[in-house]
This record gives sequence, C-alpha cells and structure tokens, in this order.
Amino acid sequence: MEPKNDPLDDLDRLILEALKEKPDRELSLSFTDTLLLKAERRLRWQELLREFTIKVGIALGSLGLVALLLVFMASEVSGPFLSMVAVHWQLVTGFGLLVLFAFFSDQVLLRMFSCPPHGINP
Amino acid sequence: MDDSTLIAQVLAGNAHAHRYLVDRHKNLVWHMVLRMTNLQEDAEDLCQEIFFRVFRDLKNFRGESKLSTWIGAIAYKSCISHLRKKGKEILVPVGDYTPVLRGKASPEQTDQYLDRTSMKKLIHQTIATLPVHYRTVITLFYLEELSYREIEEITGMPGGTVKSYLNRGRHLLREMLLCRVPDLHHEPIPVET
Repeated sequence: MEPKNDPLDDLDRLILEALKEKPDRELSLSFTDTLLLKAERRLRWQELLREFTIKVGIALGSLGLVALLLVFMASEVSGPFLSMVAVHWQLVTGFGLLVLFAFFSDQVLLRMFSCPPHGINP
Repeated sequence: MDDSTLIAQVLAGNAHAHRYLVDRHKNLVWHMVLRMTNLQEDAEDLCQEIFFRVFRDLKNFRGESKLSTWIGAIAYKSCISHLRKKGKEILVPVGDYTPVLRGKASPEQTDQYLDRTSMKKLIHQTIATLPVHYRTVITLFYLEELSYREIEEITGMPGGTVKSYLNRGRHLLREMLLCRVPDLHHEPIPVET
C-alpha cells in the first residue's frame, strides 16, 4: 500500500526547510573593507581627541598653577597683569580660542587627514 | 585560529586579524539583524555599528563564553535597542499569542496552488510577522544551528524560555500559515517541475 501524502506533514517539512534557508539578501562584497576603513577612522579620531584633551588639560592645569603661584607669592607682579586681563577679557578670550583652534588643527585635524592608515588598534 | 589567539592579534592591532574576525562572524550578525529588525535599507549600517561595538569592547572580553556567542549577544542587544528606538513592540504577550494576519494569500494564489518556492516565500514573509523573540530564537536555532545553551548566552533568556519560545514560535508559524492558506488542510503541496 502506498503511504498517504499528508499535507500537514508536508507543511512541517517545508517549514523546517524554510527555517534553515539563508535569507535572500546578502551582505555587500565590500562590507568588510568599508567596515574596517570606517572603524579605523573612528578609532583614530577618538584616540586623537583623547590625546588632545589630555594635552589641553595639562597645559591649562600648568597655566592655572603658575597663575595661582603668582597671585599668592608675587601679587605686585600679578596684580597689574590680572587687571589688564580683566579690562581686555574679550581680546584675551579671542586670543585663547585662536591658540586652541590652531593647536586643535595641528594635533587632531592635520594628523587625522594627512597620515596614511596604519591599521586598527582598539 | 582559536578565539584567544584571534583576540590577542586583534588587540595587538593586526589588520588581518580584524578582517578575519569580521569575515568569520559577519553572517551571524547579518542574519540576526535581518531577522530581528526586518530592516531593508539600514541593515548594513546596523551591522557596522555592531562590529564597532565589538572592536571597542573586545578588550573587556573575559573568555567566559565563545567569541561568536559574545558577538551574538552584542548583536542581540543592539537589535533590541534599535527596535526600542524605533518604538516597535518587542515584548511577547503572556499566554497564547493571537496571530495577527497581515493579509491572507491572494485569491489567485489559493484558487490555483502554491508551489514549494512560493510557499517558502510565504513562510519567510510569515516569519517576519512573528514576535521578535520568537524570530530570534528560531533564527539562532535553525539557521545558525546554535545549541540551547548558546542561545541562552546570547539572549540572556533562561533555558526553559528559549525552548518554550522555540516551540511556540514554530506552532504559531504553522497556525499563521494555515490561516493564510486554508487549502493546506487538504491539498498536498505540489513539487515544482
């Protein structure tokens, strides 16, 4: 006697086959290359920003320390200087920002866009 | 190359090791992203984000599980987070899930017959309408052929829940297909020639 072809068993088999099938869509062939390039850029950007932040922090910290020492130990020198800074605060702030931007360009932007890729190092 | 050697090489900045890591695990991540999010356009972008997280957090990998499982867990969390951001429902309702039919098969399809290819297409469309946790567990078990233990590690669900979702997901898929193509109750599926 020929075995009966049960449509529901057939459906189960078909479901099982379909579940094991890979999706029609595949990753683009350039996925790995694009990913590694972007990952390298991203990691390099973060690394440069971290370095820049540390350097600015050290510079500002040192300046602050010197200023404190001048205020407490040589007030006759620092007094007129601080008054001058207070009067011309806009000029001083502008100059400071300009120095910061130049430093940022040198330490981050130029290094980011001029250095050749050298591999990812997380 | 075993996991620990690969990780050491990646952390040392070896570009070939990065490429090897991506090539070895990209299909797992891709399948999870496609099945969990049903994304069309941005699926590759999400895959890239997942690998960025893998590179960033690799130094914290403690080797308590396989690397593939750890990457799968990152992919799972990223997909869930993506779905939450998009405001999509991700919770599975307690009790029986009532199939929400997103349109039955067209009259032409049911009046004539669905061959195996069309049926498989319909099955894939139906999988996409299952609740996300069912889709995930089904994908990891059947497509990636992972064990219950590995699925537990990836999803953080208890073993019983994984088994339950797998059974309920399969059952629900079958019910939804029978609702969409009622003829399946009495017509065998023809083999295409």
